[in-house]
Amino acid sequence: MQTLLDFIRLNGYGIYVWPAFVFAAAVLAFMGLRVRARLRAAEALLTRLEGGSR
Amino acid sequence: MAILCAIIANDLRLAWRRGADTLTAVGFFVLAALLFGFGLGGDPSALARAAAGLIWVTALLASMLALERMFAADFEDGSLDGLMMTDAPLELIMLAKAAAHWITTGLPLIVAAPGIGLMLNLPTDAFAALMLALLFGTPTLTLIGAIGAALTLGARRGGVLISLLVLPLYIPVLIFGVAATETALSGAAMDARLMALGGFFLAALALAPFAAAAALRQAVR
Amino acid sequence: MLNFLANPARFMRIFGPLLPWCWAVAVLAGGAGLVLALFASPADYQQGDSVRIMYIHVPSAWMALGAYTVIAAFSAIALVWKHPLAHVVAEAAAPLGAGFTAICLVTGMLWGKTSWGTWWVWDARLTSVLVLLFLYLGLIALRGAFDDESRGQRAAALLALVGFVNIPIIKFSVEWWATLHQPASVLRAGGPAIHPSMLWPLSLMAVAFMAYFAALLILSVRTEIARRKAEALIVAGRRQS
Repeated sequence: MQTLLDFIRLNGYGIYVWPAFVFAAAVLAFMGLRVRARLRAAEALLTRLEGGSR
Repeated sequence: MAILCAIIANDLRLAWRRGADTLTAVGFFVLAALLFGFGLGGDPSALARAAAGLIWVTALLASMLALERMFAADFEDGSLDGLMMTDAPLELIMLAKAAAHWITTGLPLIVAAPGIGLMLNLPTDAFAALMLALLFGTPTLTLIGAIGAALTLGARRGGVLISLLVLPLYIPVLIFGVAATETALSGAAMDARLMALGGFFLAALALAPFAAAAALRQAVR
Repeated sequence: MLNFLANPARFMRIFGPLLPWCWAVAVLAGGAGLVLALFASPADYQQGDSVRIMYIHVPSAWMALGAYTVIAAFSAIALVWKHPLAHVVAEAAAPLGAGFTAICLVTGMLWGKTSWGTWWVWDARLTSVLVLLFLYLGLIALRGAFDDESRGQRAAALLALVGFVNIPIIKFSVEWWATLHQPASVLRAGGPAIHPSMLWPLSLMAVAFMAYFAALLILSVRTEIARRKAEALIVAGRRQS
């Protein structure tokens, strides 16, 4: 447990290092989710249109 | 050549009659300086230290204000299409429009600069440097602004958009302009900063007309 | 070759199969890179464990510059050769590039606070990267500012080319001006000046970012192709009725 807490503290730098990684992960995730949401919407629209015209 | 002089003369005549652009630019310049004077006047030495930066930022903002209308009037009444059909290269026409725009918005800023400098406690040693730097800087801002104005012709919220677009290219002019103004105070050689400003001006003179013309062609296609 | 890829179906036949590979590389390289970055790499002699931020900050900086270069290249292709999908790639890359620039700036601020003692300084490198962020935002704003979509695309393409002058300024700013930011340690004339134990996680994270970027680009192109097909169907449907 102590080693885990030490690891999170990272010799005092933890308060800077972890927010950096978390922010990066959040932005990357947001980018990916946005792309995926638009793809799903476009393909859903397309299947709806194609299905309807048959 | 005759066409270019005609363009400049026409634009100047319209600007003289309307007066709005010049008044807007100079009026903003003076107003902002007044406000800064009131805001920071309690500490005269702080005001003096910040004066060069304040003057340049307000000059920048003032010249951004009138950019939207560089081509807007011609675009709306169709005379832009007429201009593009003449024999003169579109790049030279861009140069002429930018020149007219600078005379109506940039030159008045330079004339107003000593007054603004007095209001903001700029040490008098720096006045010459300020005017010289503005002389190189303001045409550069106008030329860069022409690119922004041409890119955003007919866009929604064009005014704010132009400011966002030209901001990245304005920043070097701002940095070196302030540096040139302040070197007169610190005793460092003014020449290097002024040469940089001159370099920007020449680069803008050479490249901006082409970029603006290309943007204009895209706009009216 | 450009015309060869203009056909959307053909484009997807070539780049579609690449997609799972991109994901695989992103996950594997990213996972390995993170493990090395957080656990198996040494703390710095002077900066201690704060150097671990570098494994995010530097690759994101490379991506910020790289994404803009991609946008500029495809903008040139779009304007000169009028390749129909070039605008799509440029449009998709802009928000991604903005995201990487934001990551670079924020991680840089956190790292700067520990190693320089200040969150921000107006030196050439930091200022020009901030300018890059505004360029990305300007591209996105300009593209969306017109009712006519193709006008927005062309304007944004021109802006991308005009703004490209900022890229060499960013790259060489640490060499031309005396700045607080450290000079290049990896992408420099004499080769990397950095120890392998640090070079490995750095490279792995960079590869992971690039693969992720490529994957998102491919998906974005696929989205646009689907959108255009849908639009064509709508138009055709209207004509029939």
